[in-house]
Amino acid sequence: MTQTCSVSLNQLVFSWKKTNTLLNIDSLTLHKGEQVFVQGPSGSGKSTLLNLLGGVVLPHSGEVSLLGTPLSTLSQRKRDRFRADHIGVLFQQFNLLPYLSVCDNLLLPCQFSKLRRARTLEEYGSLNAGAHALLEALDLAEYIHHPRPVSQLSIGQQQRVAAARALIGAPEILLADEPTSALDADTRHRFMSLLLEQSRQHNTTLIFVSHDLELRHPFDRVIDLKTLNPAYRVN
Amino acid sequence: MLKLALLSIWNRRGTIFLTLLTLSISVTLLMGVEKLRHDTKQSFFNTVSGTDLIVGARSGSLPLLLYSVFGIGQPTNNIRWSSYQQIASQEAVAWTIPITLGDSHQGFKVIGTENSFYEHFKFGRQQSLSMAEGHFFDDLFDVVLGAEVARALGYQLDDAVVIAHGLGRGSFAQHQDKPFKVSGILNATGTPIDRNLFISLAAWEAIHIDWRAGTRIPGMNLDADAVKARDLTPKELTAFMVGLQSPMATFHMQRAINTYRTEPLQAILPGVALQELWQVLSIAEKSLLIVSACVIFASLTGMLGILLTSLNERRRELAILRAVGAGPLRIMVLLLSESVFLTLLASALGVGMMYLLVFSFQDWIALEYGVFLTLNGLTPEQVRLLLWIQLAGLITGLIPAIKAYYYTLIDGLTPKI
Repeated sequence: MTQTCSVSLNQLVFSWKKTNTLLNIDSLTLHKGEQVFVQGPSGSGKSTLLNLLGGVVLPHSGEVSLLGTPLSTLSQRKRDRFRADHIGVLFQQFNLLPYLSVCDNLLLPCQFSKLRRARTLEEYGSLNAGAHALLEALDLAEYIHHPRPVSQLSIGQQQRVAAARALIGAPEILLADEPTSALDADTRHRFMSLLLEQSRQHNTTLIFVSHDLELRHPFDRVIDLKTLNPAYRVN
Repeated sequence: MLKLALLSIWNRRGTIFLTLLTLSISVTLLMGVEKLRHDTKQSFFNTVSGTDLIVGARSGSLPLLLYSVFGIGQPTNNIRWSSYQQIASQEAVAWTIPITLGDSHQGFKVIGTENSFYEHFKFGRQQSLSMAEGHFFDDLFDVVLGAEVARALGYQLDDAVVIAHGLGRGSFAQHQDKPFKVSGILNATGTPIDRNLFISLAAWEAIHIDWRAGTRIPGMNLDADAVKARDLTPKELTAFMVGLQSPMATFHMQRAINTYRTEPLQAILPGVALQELWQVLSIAEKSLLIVSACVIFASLTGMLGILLTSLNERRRELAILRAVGAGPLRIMVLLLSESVFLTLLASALGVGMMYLLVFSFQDWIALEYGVFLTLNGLTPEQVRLLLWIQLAGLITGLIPAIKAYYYTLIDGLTPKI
């Protein structure tokens, strides 16, 4: 079970105030390498779900288990380390630190996680080789030897660098929070196919949150927070 | 992590540079004021040492100290020569230095004294006077120059010097009928002595022999040679310094002088009087220090403002760091290290700037104000002040750091901006 089960939520309840329950998920299990599309209107608990899965906040009751580890048993510091080691995160936009080069941005997780650093070294021999391989895979080969300031990249390119960063060191889980919302139709499709292909290749569990229903087709599973989260319906 | 902090600072170098500039200027100011205070105090207490008593006409201990040692203010009255002789001949007295004041040259005060001045006067840590050139006076119209007088006026040995009657640069009455010749120049001492000219008491008497009540006696005009034939024993003097055979006798001697029957005299202990005077001056010194501490406070507040403003802009940056695995504590340390780094750098720059200023203006300050700044290492007070500044910088940095800590907790992986 733990071999194939990547994410499991059980009897999960989260609320800001005692009376105001935001998220209430009875049970959810995601398998290793599964690509899941999570849809839901704003206010349906998407950010809360992401924060719970990222181990930034803990549920008030119930359990979040990632890779067989119940997060509630870990201290905050250990949860931070766990996230650094096993989870890649992709934001809507502004994913990059403007003062770092493309490669330095990409390799940021290897600074905070020894595990991902070791995996990159094991797979590619050196951190730079790993960065180059990912940039090539994401159609950014031209920026390998041309370390321009990241602010000069287009938003589509920036999002692909961010995707490469989320994937480096082969984390088991990738959390994507509407990463395509700032992209136009063309770049969006290119981005989606690259992201899906790469996460498939690394056998990463992809949790892709979006309200753009057009994007859901290539995913293994579509989860609607509206139906999964009874708390939303109550509110 | 350190590289990240430095790159982040470099990314915001415009505003950071301004913060650094204001902070280092205020550190320079504080260090400079402390340096000035320390060195002024040093040269102040170094002005006279080894003298047991200073005797003058009865007034107050501060005026007596001021006019006899610092050349500030006017003596109220003179002392009779006979009184001086009587006290100087006491068994307990080892040596005396007579002092007569009242004339000047180009704004520098002229002191009438005797060779005992050169022999016995001590300053600093019991240092004696020494000649840079020539010798102390032996001819009647010899004049000896303090180091600064010689430098400021560009005088050399054997130059002619005409002494003005009275004080002040614009004095009209000159003793031009009896010019002096520079017989020697003293080494610099860092005391008011550097700003004095010295002539013998006999010479003093000689240039005033045809004067009464501040003006020439009409019809009486003795030239320089004729005056040598006259009796040049002084009738009065302004004050004198006393060295005793044994310091045990100091208080006994002081009492004896203070109760002297023939005329009202006063004897003061220079150390005690210096301390008293410093007490008066230290109010100014302390308020100067407080003002510069306020400047530090103001610039730290400025730094706080800039750090807090940039924190809002950096919320995204912090969320990214959090997403790639930095814990809130680590982010707090990142922000704290920034202000600590800035304070340290500003302190280093400030200290450097202070030394640069001292180095460039040392001579000018010595010449204009008689304060001798030294290029020594930091004083314990300066080190203590620097440590306080570091602490203040750390505390200032805690505020945005704690705020960032809460931002990272609230924002999590979904930053609000």
